[in-house]
Amino acid sequence: MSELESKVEGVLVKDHALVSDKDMQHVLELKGFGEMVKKKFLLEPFESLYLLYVDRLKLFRGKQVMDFDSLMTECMKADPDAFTKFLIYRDLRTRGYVAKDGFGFGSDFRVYERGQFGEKGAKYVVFGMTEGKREKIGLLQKQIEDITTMGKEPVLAVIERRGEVIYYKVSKIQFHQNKDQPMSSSIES
Amino acid sequence: MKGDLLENRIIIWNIADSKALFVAGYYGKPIGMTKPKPDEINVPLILDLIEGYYLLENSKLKVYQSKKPVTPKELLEICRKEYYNFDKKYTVYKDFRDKGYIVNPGIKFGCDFAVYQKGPGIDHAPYLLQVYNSTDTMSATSVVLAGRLATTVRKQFIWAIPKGDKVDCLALDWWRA
Repeated sequence: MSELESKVEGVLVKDHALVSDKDMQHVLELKGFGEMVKKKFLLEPFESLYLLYVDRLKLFRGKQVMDFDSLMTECMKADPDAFTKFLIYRDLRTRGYVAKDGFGFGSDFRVYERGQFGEKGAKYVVFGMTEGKREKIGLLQKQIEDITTMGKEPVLAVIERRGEVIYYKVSKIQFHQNKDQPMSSSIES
Repeated sequence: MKGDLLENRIIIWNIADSKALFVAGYYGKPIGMTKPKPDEINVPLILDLIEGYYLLENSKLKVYQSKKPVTPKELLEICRKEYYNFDKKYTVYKDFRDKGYIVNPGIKFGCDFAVYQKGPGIDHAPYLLQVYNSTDTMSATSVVLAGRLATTVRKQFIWAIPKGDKVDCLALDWWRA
């Protein structure tokens, strides 16, 4: 997905960015940024952070223009994982994926197959795991099961200490009776 | 057939038995043969405890220690002492064996088990399996390691999680995003 051509103007409302220009809203929506919430067009924190990062957003707090660092500080007050989410989101965007906020499986996103945003539902749910932290296997199993039940493919994103993201597909698998092995019960005692 | 328990291994001295066990499902390792072909086996066979216990439990093998027979219960106690997390690992071993898969030690790959559909040397690659308890925690490093191993064998890496006498499995593969 290509970057926006012109710069968006937004106003900070808590940790979201409010965009009022109708044309801009339309352009953003087409590219998979932001959402209309109660007649207000809002960008998610990770979206604003990304657009600030790629210099496509002018974000105001009152009359003051915010930079990436001050927005990140603001976002982290509401969500301690805001930086992690930004790192995954930036990585996915750079690889050409449109990503939307997930379902609350930690730092997670609904991710659309390339070129399918606006046409089909999300294909993947990408959820993060940070190097140094540990996750209960039972919880991991449940998350994978829930995502699969929604009809999405679970993808585990490992974020290494310096912010690089590595992706793994994880799925439930069933091993049935092995038909290739007819002789296994032929031992005489 | 009979096997002698020596420390934490079981040795099958009888060559015909040794061959039969190996042919029946790639049980054990013929001493000194790195890539054994069933027809060429002419040496005793070494079983590890998990294989030995499985065969004993299924009445395919009798196990002796210093000429005295070892009961399944006694062998289980030895297994628990000699083999960390034996019960969980055995649940997984038994589940795959009962379903007709060939289950070999995975130590050469750096995991618990290597599982074959047809057999080592016939299959292109085994499934690599690591056993976890559902209460265990998973680190990012274990995920990356599993991903590496999966890439090496070009097959999904399997996390096997015993639940009672059933086994839940998760398959992991690198995603070339």
